Amino acid sequence: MTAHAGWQRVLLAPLQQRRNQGSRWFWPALVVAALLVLAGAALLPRVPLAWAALTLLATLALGLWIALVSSLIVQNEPHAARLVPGQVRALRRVLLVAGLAFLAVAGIVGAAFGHALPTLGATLLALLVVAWIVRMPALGMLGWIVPMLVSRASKSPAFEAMAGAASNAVLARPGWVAAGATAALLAAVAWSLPRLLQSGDARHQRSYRARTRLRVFVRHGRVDQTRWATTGRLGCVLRELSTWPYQRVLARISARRSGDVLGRSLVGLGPVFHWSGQLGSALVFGAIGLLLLSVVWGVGLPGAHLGGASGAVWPLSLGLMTFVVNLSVAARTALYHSRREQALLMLLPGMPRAAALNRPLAVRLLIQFVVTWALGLLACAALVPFQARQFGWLVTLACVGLPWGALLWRDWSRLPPPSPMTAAAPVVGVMLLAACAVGLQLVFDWPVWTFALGFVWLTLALLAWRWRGVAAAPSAFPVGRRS
Amino acid sequence: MNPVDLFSIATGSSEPIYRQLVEQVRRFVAGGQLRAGEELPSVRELAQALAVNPMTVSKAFGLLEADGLLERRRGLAMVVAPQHRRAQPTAERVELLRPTLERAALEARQLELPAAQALALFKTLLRDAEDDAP
Amino acid sequence: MNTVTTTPSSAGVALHATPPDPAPSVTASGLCVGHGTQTVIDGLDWALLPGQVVGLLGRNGAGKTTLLESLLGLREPTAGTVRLFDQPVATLDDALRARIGYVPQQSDLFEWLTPAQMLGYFKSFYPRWNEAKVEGLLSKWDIARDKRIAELSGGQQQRLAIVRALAHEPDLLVLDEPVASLDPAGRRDFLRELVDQVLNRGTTVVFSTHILSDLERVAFNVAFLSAGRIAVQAPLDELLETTRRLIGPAAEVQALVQAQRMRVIGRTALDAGRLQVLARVADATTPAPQRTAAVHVEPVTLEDLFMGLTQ
Repeated sequence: MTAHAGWQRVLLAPLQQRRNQGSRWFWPALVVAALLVLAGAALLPRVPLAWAALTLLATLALGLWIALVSSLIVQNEPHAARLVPGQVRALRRVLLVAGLAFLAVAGIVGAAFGHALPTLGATLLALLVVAWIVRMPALGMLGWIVPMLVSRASKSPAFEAMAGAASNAVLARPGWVAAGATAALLAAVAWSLPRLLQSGDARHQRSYRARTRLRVFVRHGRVDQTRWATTGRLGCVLRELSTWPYQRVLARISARRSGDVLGRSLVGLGPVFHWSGQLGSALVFGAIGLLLLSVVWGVGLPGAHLGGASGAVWPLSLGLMTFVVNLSVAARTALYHSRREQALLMLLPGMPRAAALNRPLAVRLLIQFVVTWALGLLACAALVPFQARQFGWLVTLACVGLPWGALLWRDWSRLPPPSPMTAAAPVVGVMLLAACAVGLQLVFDWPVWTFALGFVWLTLALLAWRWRGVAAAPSAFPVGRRS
Repeated sequence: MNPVDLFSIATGSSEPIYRQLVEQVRRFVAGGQLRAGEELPSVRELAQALAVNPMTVSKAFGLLEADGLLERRRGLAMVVAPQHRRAQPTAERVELLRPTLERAALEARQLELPAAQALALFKTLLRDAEDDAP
Repeated sequence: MNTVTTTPSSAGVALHATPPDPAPSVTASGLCVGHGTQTVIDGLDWALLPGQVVGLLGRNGAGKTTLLESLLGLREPTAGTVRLFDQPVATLDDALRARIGYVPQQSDLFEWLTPAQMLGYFKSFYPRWNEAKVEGLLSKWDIARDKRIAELSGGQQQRLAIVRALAHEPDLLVLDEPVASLDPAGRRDFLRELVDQVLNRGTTVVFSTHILSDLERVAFNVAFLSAGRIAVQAPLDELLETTRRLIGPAAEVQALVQAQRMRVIGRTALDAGRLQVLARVADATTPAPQRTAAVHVEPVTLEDLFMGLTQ
């Protein structure tokens, strides 16, 4: 009875969390997305429906697994683990049983297609890897870098020789290899279980605190300023470097007492919002990213081969689109999180109010957005040698993100607090728009530049529509004071 | 003894702070802890020591000055007025005891003590206090 | 209380250097402020005279922060007006804004800056800035100038906030629960310094708190916020001296109140048909009623007033 009740509550938790915290559009959006995928697969002749359905199922199952594991990890709170009897045991049992259930389903599907054992092995590996990435998101970075390294290394002859030898060994003794692989996987499961769901010791507390900070950052966009120091010397150095332009600007405007009050007050909103802070972060973290990319991918180095420039268009464009959309989201969350500072700034002599505040602020936000967008586009264009058509696609897909900049213009006094949907919804919207553009192009074969112009026109129309609303709204600062 | 240390106030009582100070000064003067001509701490000093609003202290001092208990000197701190300027008939001094006795009477009533017993206790205590004091 | 010396407390008024009938520094009339569909402040009228030190008391969630923000124009009222120094607060001119200081409830603002940077930044906006006072206070309160604000303790952060508010020598200082996270020693120090700094200049000070002992020491006037309005505002001493708590059967209590011509300021129904009433005598010179056979008459403390006047 007790075991049952514990299990029920543990499994109910993610559902309750979704009901309480999740957006009410989640389930409808999921259903619509699934239907769209199936419809797309049915329309495109080259893709068999069975495979499309299978991929959809696999993606949904993966999503379910991720949701379950993350909910279990959130429930695995150090104080509860220590003080509530049997809680950690219940959590671990739920994880094991759920994993077995997934394996069973995968086994059945695999058996239907005739490859039961490999499917089982692959599923177990996938479940393990995903669970670990949920537990330590930093591992997700490895999931990005490792395939790139492997694909680079695979071009070299030494790797081919090794791969040949390995495949020979596998084919010679399939039974031994299968048994060895199974044993390794089972050992991995046994090792992982107590580390995925820990039992309340000091290490658990540290990792829980780190995860909470990350979660707060991801959900609400709020950086915990006190914790920079705990990332060690490297963190402090990075912070100093990336805020150096901001400090210079701050020192300069503190020294003189004249000049545009609004511009000077915006410096007080912090490096997360101000252009100097964003410039600093972009330079520092862009340099680091570039270093990584050039080491791993050979990007920007002479004689780099990327599998052809055409291979790079889609991932780069994807990256650019999400980057552009994140700009507007980041500006919004930065405005929300500095609302208490804005209250003080509104009391400064010379600070404009109402339309005199809203209009210049809107213009500044737009300029900041457009300039960052253009710089991002230029950086992408400079990194990879493109041909005209691919460059056209890059620009068009970058333009897909522009209308979201127009949505920055709103009645800021009614700004709601940021939620996970704040970041997720624009990304979904951008993907849909991009998919529409690509689809239309494939069907009607219009020139690529028409789409770019279309998105720019859409942006201008949105801006014109919202300008009046911005001017008529009450003072933007402090944001979010009305609801 | 530094006169500042003589004073204390209690928050959370039904007696305003300025009144507590006034009553304390009266008691000290009547009891001899503050002698005629002795200098009182300045308003600011006392307010700092007791962590109260200086206006409260100055209000208390003002009342005492109006009563003739304290004297203001130009540019210096207030002093206790000389004996002959102060009217201290027994009747008035007895009135100073009224607050404490009222509280004692209320408690006696709540404990449902007969008046005779309460008075006997008071007499004993007075005798003990006389024996202790020089 | 049971004072025999009948020197009216008005004798003390002459010591507080307020000119006769000064223009109020803050006036709120018919103020209504809402939070979504809920009305928090409902038809509030309030006036603060220059030089007053007023403590705003109210329960948690009564709307103290909302009221203080509305007074400064940081929140739009749904009805009513607020005037500061006789100008509507929505369109204050720069000269008046330089005379206002605000200490908000959260003290960890601008946490990415150091105190030196933050004060230097604010200095560039204000025409009048007392650098000597800033340096003096930073040294006296031992606030590190070059350590990020995020790394200061809560008490240091709150003291820094008061330094920032005082540096431009405001004529109106608004503090929202300024000592909430300080320990008792810290609170005493803070309030003592605050009073020290502002009293000489005749600054109007409004601060909200629910720590009654601090209020008793520092505030000269108290205002009770209840049901979206200011229930009572009066000098604290006067309030304590003239208010009595009457407990007894409802009819007798009403009769006594009528007979003594007292003004009821708070009323609570007790069990068994009894009534508890907080009532004030007409003026300080009238002696307060003594207990009668059926009705208890007791003096009140600030806590009794708080419990009885706020709900």
